[in-house]
Amino acid sequence: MTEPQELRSIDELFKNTFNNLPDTPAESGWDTPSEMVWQHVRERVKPPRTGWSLSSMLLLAGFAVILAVGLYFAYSNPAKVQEKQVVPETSTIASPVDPVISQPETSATLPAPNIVEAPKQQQLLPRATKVTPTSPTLEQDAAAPMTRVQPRSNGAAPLPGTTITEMPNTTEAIKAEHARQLALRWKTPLQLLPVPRKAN
Amino acid sequence: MQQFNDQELVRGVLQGSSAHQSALYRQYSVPMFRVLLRFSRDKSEAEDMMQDGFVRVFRDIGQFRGDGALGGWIRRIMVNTALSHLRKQRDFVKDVPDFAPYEARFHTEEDFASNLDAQTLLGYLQRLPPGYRAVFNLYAIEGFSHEEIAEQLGITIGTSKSQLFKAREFLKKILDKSFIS
Repeated sequence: MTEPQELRSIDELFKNTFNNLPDTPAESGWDTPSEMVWQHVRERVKPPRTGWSLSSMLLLAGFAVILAVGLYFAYSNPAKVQEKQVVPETSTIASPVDPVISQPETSATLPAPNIVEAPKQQQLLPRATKVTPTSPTLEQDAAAPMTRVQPRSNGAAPLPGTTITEMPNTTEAIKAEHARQLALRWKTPLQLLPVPRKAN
Repeated sequence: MQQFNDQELVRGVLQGSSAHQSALYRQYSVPMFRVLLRFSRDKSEAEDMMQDGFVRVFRDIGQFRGDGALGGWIRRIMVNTALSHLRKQRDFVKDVPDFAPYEARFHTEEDFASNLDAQTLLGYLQRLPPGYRAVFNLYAIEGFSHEEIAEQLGITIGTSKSQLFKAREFLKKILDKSFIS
């Protein structure tokens, strides 16, 4: 697009005038900023960052957070905690001797739910976790599956479904059976061997 | 005042030397202020732009690659800062159908009596509506194309051409009156 010469000359006039100004500021001061500008700039310019830059610090902080979260989940895995901890075993909630509170007669039409009293911590006897062969109840304990309730940290009643069934120790049961049979044989008196008849 | 070359200035500012910061400001404050005066309506607005511009210079000086002149890099920052200020004004590129109020500002004895020096031309520019002033500055003096102006100001190419045409018309009218007088 061709532009009129006079319009282009206006452009040239302004361009030449402003691009060919002397290096020194005008005496009238029209092209010199006030000293307050530099004061404000200096206040707003922060001191240089030395050492760690913000980006590297953010990167390091992010890595530390990820590491901390990973370690937390790694060491708070319930399965691993159970393996390491020796949890005192307690009886199941619903035992035959537990008292059953009957509902009032007003609710007789509905099936009365069995309200189970929360087990008291003092009455629960801790069971030995390690089975010794000399124990008289060893055979039954080793053969039967053991059930226990996972206790809660605040001492409240255990949640439903927290009963843990452990598999019986079959090796100990077999050993105990062998010992029982051996003891039984020793108790049985020996019978006289039959005298061989003389052959005619 | 101690003189530094561009590399020394950049290195010193990056190391946090206040002497180098001050030297850089003293070296470039006048030429950059002249640029900003053309984009502003008065000296006060130009000083606001300059303050923001130099803060950006000191903040981003690490991005200066050194493949060009430091003055050119600072000038681009100043122009961008001026455009940022202009964009904050609502409808700064609006059309001015009736230019009479603006034209009346030129009809002073001072304008007609003065010579066409830089200060006088600056006075003409500063009395233009902000959109006309910005487009004329970018096209005629800074050498931007209409596509670049449209992108920088967030307007259409047609608007950029229209604003430039009207700015030239008004300046021509004023200059004619100045010459006649």
